[in-house]
Amino acid sequence: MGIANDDSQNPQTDSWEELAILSQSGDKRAYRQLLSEIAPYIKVRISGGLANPDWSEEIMQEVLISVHKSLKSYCADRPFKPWLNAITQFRRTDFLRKHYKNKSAKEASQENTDIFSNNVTHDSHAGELLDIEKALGKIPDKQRKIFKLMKIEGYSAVEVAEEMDMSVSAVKVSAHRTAGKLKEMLG
Amino acid sequence: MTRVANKTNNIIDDLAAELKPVKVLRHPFMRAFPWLVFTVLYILLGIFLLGVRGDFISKLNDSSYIFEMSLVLVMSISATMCSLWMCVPDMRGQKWLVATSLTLISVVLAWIITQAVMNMDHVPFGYWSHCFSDAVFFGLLPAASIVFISMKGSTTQPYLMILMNVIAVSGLGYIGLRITCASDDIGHICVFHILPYIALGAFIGMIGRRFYRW
Repeated sequence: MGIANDDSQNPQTDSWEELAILSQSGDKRAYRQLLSEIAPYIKVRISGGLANPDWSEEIMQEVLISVHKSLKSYCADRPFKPWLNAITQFRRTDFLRKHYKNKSAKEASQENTDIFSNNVTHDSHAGELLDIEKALGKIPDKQRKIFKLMKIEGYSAVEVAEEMDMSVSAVKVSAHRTAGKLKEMLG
Repeated sequence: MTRVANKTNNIIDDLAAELKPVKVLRHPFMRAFPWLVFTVLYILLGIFLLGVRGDFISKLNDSSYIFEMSLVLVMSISATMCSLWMCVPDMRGQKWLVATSLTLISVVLAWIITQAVMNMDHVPFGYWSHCFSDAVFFGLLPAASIVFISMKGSTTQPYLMILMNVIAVSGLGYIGLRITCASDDIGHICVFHILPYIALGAFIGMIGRRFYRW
């Protein structure tokens, strides 16, 4: 492996395989380095052919969360990139499938992409708050509660996790997914 | 864009902060083997409870019967392996397992369709056979257990994995039925030995995506 555990406080530029193995054993520094290094790689992999360039950042974040959740499935005797590419491709397809399933989102994507950067206080967006409430109503109760506690009422992930009797990671993932869903619903 | 990039950095920070040592998923074979042993024992128990067909000893000399059983067994084992390898995102590079399983499934289907075209003289609708409930008995627990085992992984091909799970269970259940049921009528086999597993597959297909979401 080339890296002893006591070196983990100051990891050098290691191969992703080594960093992944260290991460599996709980080395946070190695894990942070791994995620930071793979993020641009993932972005390059997914950006080609996307209708909206902003999606690549969103998909990349989904991939990073997926890497976190499936870290246990990485096998030390296998190269890292095929494992990462499989997850990247899966999340990219998943994102696009969900996006185009939503008819209104599909219509929005055919319009000028500048619409996404409009300010929410723009005149044409009057009543948007009602739309957000309506969209929130379509989210399952548990996810809605987590989202409201974290993003509207301003509780920390740790506080929400305690309140909901869930792990902090699960709470963050849930809030992130709900935000994604809302974004899709609102076009 | 800067805000989004900051969000990415925040996510990386959060994920790194939450990292705990993980228990690495065991080798797919080591996960498939206990399921196969459990399912074979379960089906043997079912055969013991339901009783072996009266002409079983003579059927062992029937090359067509042996070929059919062997083919279905190999298909089922192959689908089991494929299912458990699919729990790893890149299948550990063993993508040929999918082609092998699909080929075997095609051969079994071709075999059944050929038998049906050549020998089916009636379709036994309109009455109940205990084989239907036996098929459910043979399939239910193995199906639940393989879905449970598969949920521990992180598949990137959920629908294909559902198909493989169903084929793995159906194959072994089908063998159990062919050992306990004395009927060799292809109409009976299609309706009471295969149809329940198609129904099971449709059911798992509808709800399975939720199980394998991660």
